[in-house]
Amino acid sequence: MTPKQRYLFDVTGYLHLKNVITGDALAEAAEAVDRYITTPPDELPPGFEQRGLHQHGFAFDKSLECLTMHAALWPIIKELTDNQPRFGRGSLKHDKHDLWKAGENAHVNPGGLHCARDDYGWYSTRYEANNGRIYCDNFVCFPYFTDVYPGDGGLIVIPGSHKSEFDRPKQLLTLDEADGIDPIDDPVFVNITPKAGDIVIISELLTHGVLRWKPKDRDRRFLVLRYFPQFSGKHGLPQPILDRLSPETLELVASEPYGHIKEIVKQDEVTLTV
Amino acid sequence: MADHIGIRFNKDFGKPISTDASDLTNTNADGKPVIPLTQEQKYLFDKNGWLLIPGVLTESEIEEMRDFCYRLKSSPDTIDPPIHRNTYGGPLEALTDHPVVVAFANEFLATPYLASETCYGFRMEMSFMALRSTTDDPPYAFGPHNGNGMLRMPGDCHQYQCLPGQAYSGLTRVVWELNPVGKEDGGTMFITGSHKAAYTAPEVAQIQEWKFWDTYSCPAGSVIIFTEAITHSGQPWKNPDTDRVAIFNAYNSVDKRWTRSQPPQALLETMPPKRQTLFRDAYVKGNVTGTDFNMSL
Repeated sequence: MTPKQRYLFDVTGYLHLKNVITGDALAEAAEAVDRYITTPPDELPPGFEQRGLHQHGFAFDKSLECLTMHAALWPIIKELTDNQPRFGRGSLKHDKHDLWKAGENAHVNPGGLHCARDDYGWYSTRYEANNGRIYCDNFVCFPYFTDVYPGDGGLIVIPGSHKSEFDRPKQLLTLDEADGIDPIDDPVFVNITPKAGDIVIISELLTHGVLRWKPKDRDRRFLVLRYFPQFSGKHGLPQPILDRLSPETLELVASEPYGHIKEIVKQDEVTLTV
Repeated sequence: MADHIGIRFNKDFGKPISTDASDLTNTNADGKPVIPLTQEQKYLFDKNGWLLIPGVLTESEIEEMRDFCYRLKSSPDTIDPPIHRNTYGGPLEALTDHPVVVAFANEFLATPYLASETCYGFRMEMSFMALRSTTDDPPYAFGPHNGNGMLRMPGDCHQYQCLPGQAYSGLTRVVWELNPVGKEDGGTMFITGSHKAAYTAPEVAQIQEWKFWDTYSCPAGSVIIFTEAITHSGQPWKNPDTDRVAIFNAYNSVDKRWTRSQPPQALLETMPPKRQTLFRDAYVKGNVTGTDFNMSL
């Protein structure tokens, strides 16, 4: 993790790594994503299904599985978990214009703002800096396979909210009544617009949400990769998914005691051997 | 994170102080009511390190203050008596303890046992005017400074501390914009959230075009409050159609003093007694007027 990455993640609660999946790696990953999305449900391999998200998308193809330890992410994953990482789960999100319908939730919480404090309790998640390094015990990485442009919609974040000491007001954003779904634009949030090959990393303590996907001729495709410390919790991956994973990924998803250093952590870059 | 819990301690035995910001000074020296900050204002200031409150002053107040600022710059001799020839004086005196300022300071600066209806729980530090235009020669320079205030030890006024539901802003700047400010005009700039930064800013922070530099737009009569613990900067004024006319006031807690700035003694003596308490010496024990000193709240 570079000093600049540390500063920005610490100040804002997120990082936007640009153009880190490139060339054949990006083309193969995008093809695999497309294959998962377009495969009829009854023809999907065991363990895969669409239930909100395309479940376990990271394991659908080796070009996606290797992103869990991508070279641009790996030093950051190691730092944030104090060299004791565990990969929890990783689904594929396929966002389209016609998935969005006006609903009651838009009136209650336009933009769908939430964070770990809301979802799991104020005591659930830690973010600290110690010894010149950042520790964060619940974070998410989003590798993107399609482009997002300003005005398209998609991920929004409230920069700095991972350190907030005051409750977020329930009516922080105001619904755009004419739209019926999105909030009125407000300087309190930032709409992140990654391009294919970018990866966005957020602390789960960062308040985040999503704007309606507006383009009708393009969609939004990205993985949702979740990381925790190895000494906290354990994965819930079904056996058919585990059976597909490389030894390095199996080691990454394994729970281990405090202080245990996984073999993959000793490597600066991890290559899947199978 | 409760809205307010007794997390500030009494001097003795860790006994919680039971007062809330809304229990502190409820009117300013002119008798105007102090409206406590909203939860949204508290949330945004703590998260960002700065807060814009648009359209606080009335048209007539703005006009009188703006005219005073131009006279202060170009013809101070026309201001009588001479004790008002400064940014503590004339119509600007009303800004020193404007109800919005008192409300903010009650939440983020005031010491509860030094505050009462006769005595503010915070101090005023300094005041100056920024009258900038596109003809400035040389233009006002971009000069980023400060930041990382949450990691500073006591003794440095550029400090920010926070606990769930409670925060302390340390040396705090209050900027009154007396003309409209557009987003590209040249208002004060901030690296939002950098008051809580745990790391040294990268070199790119020295570049004004870096996308993490934020600023604001606001109508005339707005106030921007920021902790001096945040990385911030002025910048050249770019709007040829209007000047920047801004008053920069600063506040601190009663036990701390950053500068020697004071209103002229003769002006101070004309102020209402409550307003005079803004400028009292920086110490704690017995530093109240109109009430007994009692730390056992």
